[in-house]
Amino acid sequence: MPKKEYKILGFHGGLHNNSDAKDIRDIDLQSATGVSVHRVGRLVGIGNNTSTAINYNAFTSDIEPGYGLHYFSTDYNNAETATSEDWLAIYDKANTKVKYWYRDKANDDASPAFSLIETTFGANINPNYYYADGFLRIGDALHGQESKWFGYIDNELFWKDEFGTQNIHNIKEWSTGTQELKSLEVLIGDNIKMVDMSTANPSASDLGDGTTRKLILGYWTTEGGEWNGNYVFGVTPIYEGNQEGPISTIYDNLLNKLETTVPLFNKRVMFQVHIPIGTAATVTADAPHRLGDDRIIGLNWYFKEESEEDWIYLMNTDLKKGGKHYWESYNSATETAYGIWDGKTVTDSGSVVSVTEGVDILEDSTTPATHINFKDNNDGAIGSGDNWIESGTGASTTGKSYHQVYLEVNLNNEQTNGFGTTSVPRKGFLRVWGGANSPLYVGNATESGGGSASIDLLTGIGGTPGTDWDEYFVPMTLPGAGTDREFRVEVLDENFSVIADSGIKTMTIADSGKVAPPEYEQEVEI
Amino acid sequence: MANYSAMNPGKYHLGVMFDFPPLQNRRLNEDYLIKNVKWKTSAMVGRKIYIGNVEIEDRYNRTHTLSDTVLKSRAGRFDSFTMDRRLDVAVGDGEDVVRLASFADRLLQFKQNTMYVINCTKTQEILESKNKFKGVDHHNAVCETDYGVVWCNEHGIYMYNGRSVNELFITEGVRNVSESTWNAFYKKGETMLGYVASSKQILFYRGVDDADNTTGNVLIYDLVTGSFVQGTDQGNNEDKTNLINDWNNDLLYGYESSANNTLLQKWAVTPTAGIATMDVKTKFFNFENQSRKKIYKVEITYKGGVINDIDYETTNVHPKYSVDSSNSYTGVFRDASGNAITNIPSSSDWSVIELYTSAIDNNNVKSISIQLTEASLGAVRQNFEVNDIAIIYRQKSVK
Repeated sequence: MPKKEYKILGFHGGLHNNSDAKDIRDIDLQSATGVSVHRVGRLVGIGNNTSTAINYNAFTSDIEPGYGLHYFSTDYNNAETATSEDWLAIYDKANTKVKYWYRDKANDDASPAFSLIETTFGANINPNYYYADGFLRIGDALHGQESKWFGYIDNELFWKDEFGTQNIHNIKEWSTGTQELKSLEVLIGDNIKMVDMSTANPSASDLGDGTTRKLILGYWTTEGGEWNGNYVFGVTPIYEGNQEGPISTIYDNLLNKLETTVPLFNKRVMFQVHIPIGTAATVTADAPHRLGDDRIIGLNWYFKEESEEDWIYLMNTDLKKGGKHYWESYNSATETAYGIWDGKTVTDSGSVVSVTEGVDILEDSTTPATHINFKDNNDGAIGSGDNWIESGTGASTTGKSYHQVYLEVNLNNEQTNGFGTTSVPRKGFLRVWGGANSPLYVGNATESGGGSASIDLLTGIGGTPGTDWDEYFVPMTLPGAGTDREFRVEVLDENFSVIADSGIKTMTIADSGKVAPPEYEQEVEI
Repeated sequence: MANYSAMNPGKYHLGVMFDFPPLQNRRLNEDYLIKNVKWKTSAMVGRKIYIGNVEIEDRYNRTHTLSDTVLKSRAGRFDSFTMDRRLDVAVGDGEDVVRLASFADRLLQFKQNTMYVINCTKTQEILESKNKFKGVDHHNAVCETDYGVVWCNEHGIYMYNGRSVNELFITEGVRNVSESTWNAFYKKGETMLGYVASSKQILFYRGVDDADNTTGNVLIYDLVTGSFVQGTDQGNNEDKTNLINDWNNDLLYGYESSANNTLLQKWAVTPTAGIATMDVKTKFFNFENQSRKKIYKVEITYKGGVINDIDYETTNVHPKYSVDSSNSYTGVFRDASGNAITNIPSSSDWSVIELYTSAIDNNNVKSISIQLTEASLGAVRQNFEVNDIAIIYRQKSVK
């Protein structure tokens, strides 16, 4: 028989030593030690371990076999700029800490180093890692030590304007801590307090000098609301990722669990949050978070009636932007009266008719023989026209029903601080009761002398703020006929809280023969 | 000295007003509150993190160890865990959750003896399959790849590809790697695996503890060809960390190069050093019958070895052969002049070496197997490659 050639062209069957050696495929090998068959048609040397460019031999590290390494990338680099960075978390058993080795991802950095930040544990751990949304979490598989985190905190806290350029506290740094989302009670202890701000903003002792971390829920009330009962308040911290921590009840005394109870009857309630920051108007950049955990970015406030079990959500406080009105630094040494409306008598000679809270709607408050200050026209300094009068004079004046009028409202706030500046005063609203359409909400009205203007809470800007008053002409329609019809004007702040009230003034309205404006009802086709 | 605060709303004495208590607002539910949690293993599926084998502190500050429990975070809230988002696939079974892994939208829960596939596509997780005897005894016995999840235990090596669990020792219905080979390699509690992304291989290290001087032995599974190879001391026989893939997708581990000094090592698919131990044995070729043949020679097309070194222009590969299914590879190949070949010479380009069998045993052969092993001179040169092997034979007539 002729010679034959039998060719073995491939070896990619690899190791096959479980069957009879003559019954395996040609591409299989009885023994495949020291070779690799990953390239079809080739038998090449097996790979091996080799040193990397990373030599951290200088790093003293005792290895916990089977544990310790984790790779992750971040959007910020070790120098805290927004440049991608590669990281290796490396557990150092000898010192029970995780160290962080970094390199420039974009430039394939050849000269990496270890971060100065380390995550230290109280005893040896078997580290497990997970990484999500910029934060590395380190758990101990032995369940012996608390889980921890490492990551870049990019928090511009307490914005003072819409751009966030003048915020009170910046935390922009690599940081590490315990993974637990701790309650504020754990973080700041018995220092979550309620402060009644009805007559004054928080005092210096309320705030403290910043040595002790505190959180204050300021509140005050006005009449006319529907809060009825004894209420208790609580707060939860909101951590990065919109993660809510456990609730902390506000106590008078934490040790005795004596809750702070706020008794309310037919009240509306206003809340303002104060977070003490120390003895300066801003906090040093990268100083520890004033609430004890750099990851906290908000607060959720809750309330319940005393003796109730369920906490009900009240409001959120965003520690960054802070909502529509942002944040502001408050100085307890000089600003306790700031922003609290101080109503002043409108007329120089003094009122004999009660003009409460600096809101005057009377024609002449210096005499009892006066009436509500309606005008036909809003022209001139004091308006003009008496066609709206049906009969009488002085206090006996009666108006015509459904007559178009202007109500002159004089505002005088003696407190000039905390209501903005003459160039940028705080703006409010008037709420006018008693007209054919009631209430009327007025954000702009004609000023004395003509021209539309917003309702400034800082009064007397045209003259001497705090001394001179502002006059507004509010267009309205008198109501239908009736005796002692009630009229009232309230001054509202930016959040529609009542800060001043004219009180109820009365006037008789006679039938003018005009019919009431038609009321249109929606026709529903069946 | 003035004491300051940050106030919100940020205008003096401007409050957030409530005319009435907002009773219609949501209630805070702390029934399921977990104040603190310690975890043994974790895996991310979508935007949720699952942590397993946990120790929790409940709302009453009581500590509970829940070794069968997996807790699921809310989407994007990777530190928030509550008891109402608890997965107990099997409790009281005498097993603990050892490792969690994920592939696409499936969560794999490994216990010591059992592996569960959990479908996480819906709001409520669904147990998709229970796989007995496919658990793992330690966390490093599992590896996630772009093809699926691969893991090993004392019974073998498995892969979940998103549809089914496959045993990698079985190819086309036939087991390739023997049980004894795996038993000799696998070290309980230590054998770990990682993914070599560049070559799409799974690399197994025998162990992580320097108390055993064979922990640097490796086993490689090629995901493309579905084949295994072995290596001896290709890793360090020192204390090792776990395996990770770095920024280049290189497979890394750290080892203690000396007391309290750690070095990182990566796996090089192309060897960078000589191979101290090589043992390649082909099948016993009987050329599709068991009748007698005469084997004239074997031709190996190869390249590699040291070039331009007159003393060491060798590959350090010693070719041998065995006939008729004998385990003794004592057959000596000779050149055309009859000189024994104990070290294939080096060649920078593809070259064919003719290996003649000995006259004394090349006749009346039923089958032949070729072995390539390291020469006595030293480690096989790392650039040694074989392209093909040809066997020249003549069939003898049947008597």
